[in-house]
Amino acid sequence: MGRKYANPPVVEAVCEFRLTPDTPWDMTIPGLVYEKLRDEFPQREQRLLQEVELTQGPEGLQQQIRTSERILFLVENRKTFVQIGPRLLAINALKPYPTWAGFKPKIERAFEALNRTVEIRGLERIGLRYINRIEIPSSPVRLENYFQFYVFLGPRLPQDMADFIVGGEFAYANGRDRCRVQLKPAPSSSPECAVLVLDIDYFLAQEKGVEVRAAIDWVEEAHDKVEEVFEGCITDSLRNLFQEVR
Amino acid sequence: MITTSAVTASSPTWRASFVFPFLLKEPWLETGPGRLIFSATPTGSLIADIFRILEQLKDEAVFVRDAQELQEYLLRFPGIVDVLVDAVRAVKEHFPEAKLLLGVYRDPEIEDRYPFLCVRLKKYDENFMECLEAAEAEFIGRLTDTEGWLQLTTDFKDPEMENAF
Repeated sequence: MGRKYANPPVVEAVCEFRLTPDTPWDMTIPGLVYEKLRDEFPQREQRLLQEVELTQGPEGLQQQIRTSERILFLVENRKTFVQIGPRLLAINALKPYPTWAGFKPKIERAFEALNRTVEIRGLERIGLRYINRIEIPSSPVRLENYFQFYVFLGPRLPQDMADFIVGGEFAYANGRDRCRVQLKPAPSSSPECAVLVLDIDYFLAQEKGVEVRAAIDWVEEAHDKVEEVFEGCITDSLRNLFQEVR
Repeated sequence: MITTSAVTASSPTWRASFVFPFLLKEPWLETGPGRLIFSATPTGSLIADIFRILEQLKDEAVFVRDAQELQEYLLRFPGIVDVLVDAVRAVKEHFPEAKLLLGVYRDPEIEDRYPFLCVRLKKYDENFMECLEAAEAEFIGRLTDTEGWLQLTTDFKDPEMENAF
């Protein structure tokens, strides 16, 4: 059981399942899944997403723009929603984060609805991602006061950073899983306040590395790892800002 | 403004930035002939998509005002995120020289707010409103099936004037 905070920094949690290309898919699937979820996710919306790709071929650089459709099923207050697109299912929870006890049942329910609709032949990727927006009421910020995952600068380098990014991927389960961690600045609406985004994305790095029937167990395990990494990235000064509940 | 304080060699500091930094991009880079070298793919995260699109708009010289409020609106009405990209593209096709401002309009009389895209030109000729309507026609149909709104407008001001945006 992880620590609890009265003022948690999570602005979005996402659990995403990408199905292998051999999984059958057609345009009726979103509607069939919606029928199974509409009591809890009654609002339905569409997003037309654009994907930009740049490829280097014999004739030089070529740009391709592809459009794909995603259907969103939202709860009444629009803070939690399910996204469904070609061989993709994602469940998102926006701030205020409903706690793991509130979020996990929605993941289970959406995955179960998809699993009862489609014969899922394999999982290409599963991801559990937490995006934290951390406001620190001071600027400049001494990163090491708040983080245990930050930029180290040798004494011969300039010490006053205008911008930065810190990122890394950690291997888990003998390389089957990875956890990508990034810390980077975000726009602030106040000069008195510094804002950082701590993005923790734990994902299945090996296609079909997890059986479909074990997917939800994997998600539970991923959540434990995300919590460990989150706590490993921060110091007690941030825990105080988040108001730990004991 | 943010103040600068003395720093020591053992205490790297970072000062808050008021612009979307390049760091919010999420490109995947790979090299080699005939191979994918760049892909900006929508992710499962709505916030990451919003960051990516606002950064893309900034690269296209769209001035973004009220970034935080805009993000909040787009989180509430995710369908508008993609309409926004199409709207900017349509306006740039009709007005290649225009300066664009993206912000959030707050209605002073009722509890309502929505994003707007403001077009400014050096000269406004007699075809201007017709072109503005033609640009709007390219994306307005998508608003009918989407929760939320995006208003295309102008204030007829000079884009070069001081503090224009």
